[in-house]
Amino acid sequence: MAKAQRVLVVGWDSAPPKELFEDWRKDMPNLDRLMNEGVHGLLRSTDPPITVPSWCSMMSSRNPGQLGFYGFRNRRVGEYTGKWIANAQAVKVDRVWDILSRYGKRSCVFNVPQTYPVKAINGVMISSFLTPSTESDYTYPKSLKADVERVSGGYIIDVDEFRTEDKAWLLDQIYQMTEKRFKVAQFLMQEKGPWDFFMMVYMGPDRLQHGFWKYIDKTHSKYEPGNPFENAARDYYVLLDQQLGELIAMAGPDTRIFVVSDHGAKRMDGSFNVNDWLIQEGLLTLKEPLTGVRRFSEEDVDWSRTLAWAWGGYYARIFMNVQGREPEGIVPADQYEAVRDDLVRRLEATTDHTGRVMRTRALKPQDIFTGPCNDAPDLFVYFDDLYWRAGQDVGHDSLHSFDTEIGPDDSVHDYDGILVMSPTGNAGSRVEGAQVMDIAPTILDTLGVPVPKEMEGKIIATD
Amino acid sequence: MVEPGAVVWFTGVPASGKSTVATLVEEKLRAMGCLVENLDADEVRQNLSPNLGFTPEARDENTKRLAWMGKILSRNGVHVLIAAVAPMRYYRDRAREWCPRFVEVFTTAPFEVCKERDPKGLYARGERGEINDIAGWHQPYEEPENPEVVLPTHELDLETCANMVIAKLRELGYLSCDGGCGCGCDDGYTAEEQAKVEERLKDLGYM
Repeated sequence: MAKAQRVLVVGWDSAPPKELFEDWRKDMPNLDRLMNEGVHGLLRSTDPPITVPSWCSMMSSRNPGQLGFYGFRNRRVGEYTGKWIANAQAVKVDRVWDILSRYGKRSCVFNVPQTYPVKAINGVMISSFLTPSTESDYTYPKSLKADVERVSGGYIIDVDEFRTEDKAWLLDQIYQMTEKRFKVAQFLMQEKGPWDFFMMVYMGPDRLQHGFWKYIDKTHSKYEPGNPFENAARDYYVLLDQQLGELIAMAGPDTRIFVVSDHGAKRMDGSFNVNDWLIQEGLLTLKEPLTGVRRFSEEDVDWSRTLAWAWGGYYARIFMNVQGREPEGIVPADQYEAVRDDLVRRLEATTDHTGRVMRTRALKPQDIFTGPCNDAPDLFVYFDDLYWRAGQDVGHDSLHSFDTEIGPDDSVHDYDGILVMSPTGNAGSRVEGAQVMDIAPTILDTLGVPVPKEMEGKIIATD
Repeated sequence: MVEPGAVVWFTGVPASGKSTVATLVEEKLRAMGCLVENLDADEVRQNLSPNLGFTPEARDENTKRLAWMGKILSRNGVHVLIAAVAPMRYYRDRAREWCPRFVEVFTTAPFEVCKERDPKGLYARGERGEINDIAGWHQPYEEPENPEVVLPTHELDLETCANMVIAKLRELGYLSCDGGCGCGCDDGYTAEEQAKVEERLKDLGYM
């Protein structure tokens, strides 16, 4: 089927390919059926492979260098403090539903990241986790909110405080959120149609994987055989699979189904304290001596003696203190590339707690993006092939930590998410080389809508 | 220095919904406190150019006058809505050239739908052979190649159409929407809301 009357996209944030395509496939009959009747494969995420910007790249077919944001929080180059959050206002390009609206096609957009503040579309929209609270107007049209609250019995924007040791509580919260989401999805499907494009993103998988990976992955250093949460993730995906089956049934015939994730997941081996490392290397100097661990703050930096500083997360962003660009820059502009190359060399030589040189990559935005790279950091750093996250706090006893400063978290993001698309020609085969920016043009093509020339991805061939 | 207004040109064949959408956009912009002029082509023609007919030369002249009015009004901070078929692309391209903040809105619907609507009885007259100059039927109508907004008015409800125009104006930076426009854009995203989001992200270790 090259074209379809409708497209249903089910997003499982952070869903990992190996677990779904191999380990748990037999427990997920609906996903299995889609894989048999369609195609599946790895879906390469953006650089960096994180929720924002990946979902936006997927729906706009623009890389982060074009979008101008690289995570939830972003920095204005030339300012030391003052972060901005990349919500829907930061998205200056059309996403699939904007284009479909212009062609008179009706969309239901549900819980897709970066949709708050909501804006008018031909159809309905419920925003995602960057929504301030349920007191906000998080639906389009505004009148839909009352239905959402009624149908869900009190809507939940996200699982707050999912970095907790109380795993039973966390699991309960994730299930509650998921059940509420599904009730709303049923309502949208049955009461807010007809639609041409329906997209729903589940955040539960991401929250669950960060909270439970050490319980499910036998290769994790903290794994305990026979632990009570051994099957927590698999059981959750079984629930998602049941809901997937019901969504497919409600969508009806002549609908092409996409199951996608924005990135994958894998075990976290540790946290590399990147600002402590910069201090140790003499590249970052604080105004006061450190007494214990504390949150890194730009306000504590002695800029007259600082060449670079970092933001942490599942990857690190390195910012350089450049003369003429930063208020108190000290890196001479004509030595910018030399200093940056030196930073790359040093970062890629960093070692883990055993002295092993990690498989770290420090990437220049201009080498990985095609856009103007507005406000991009000077380097993106993936420690040890992403198995190590980047800790930005300062004052640790060691460069290596095994408990993160932000609360329990036992998985990191991986480069590849999942793609399942059905029905298609070549049923049961694998798709090779797909990446998130290919999804938007493939959706438009499926619905018979011309693909704007600005889109960077390609239509995924299915015959 | 006055912040310039936008010139929004609604183009499309007769009965495709130009004036109807423009009227609601006008209402919404006024509710937002904007200065607005809605230059309905028929009214302007009647009052400003009663001597102009519907020859190609006359249409050329009429659209030129509309574009010129759009230019001078918009540079004084007025948002100008022009609902005019302007069947040839160069009519609209000329306006785009003259007006720095130009937004082309293409209202479109199948011929049968427009014929059915027929608010001015034009199609009925065409059926009876009384007129033979309807753009898109007897006369050519060149569809826009890259309009800022396309509104299939047979598919979208009127409210959505108007909201899409306003959302585009906002997206292009031609409006500072206070969230009270009903377009759903909620530019009234407040510092308090932002603080709530930041606090949550901070709690999750994302800040």
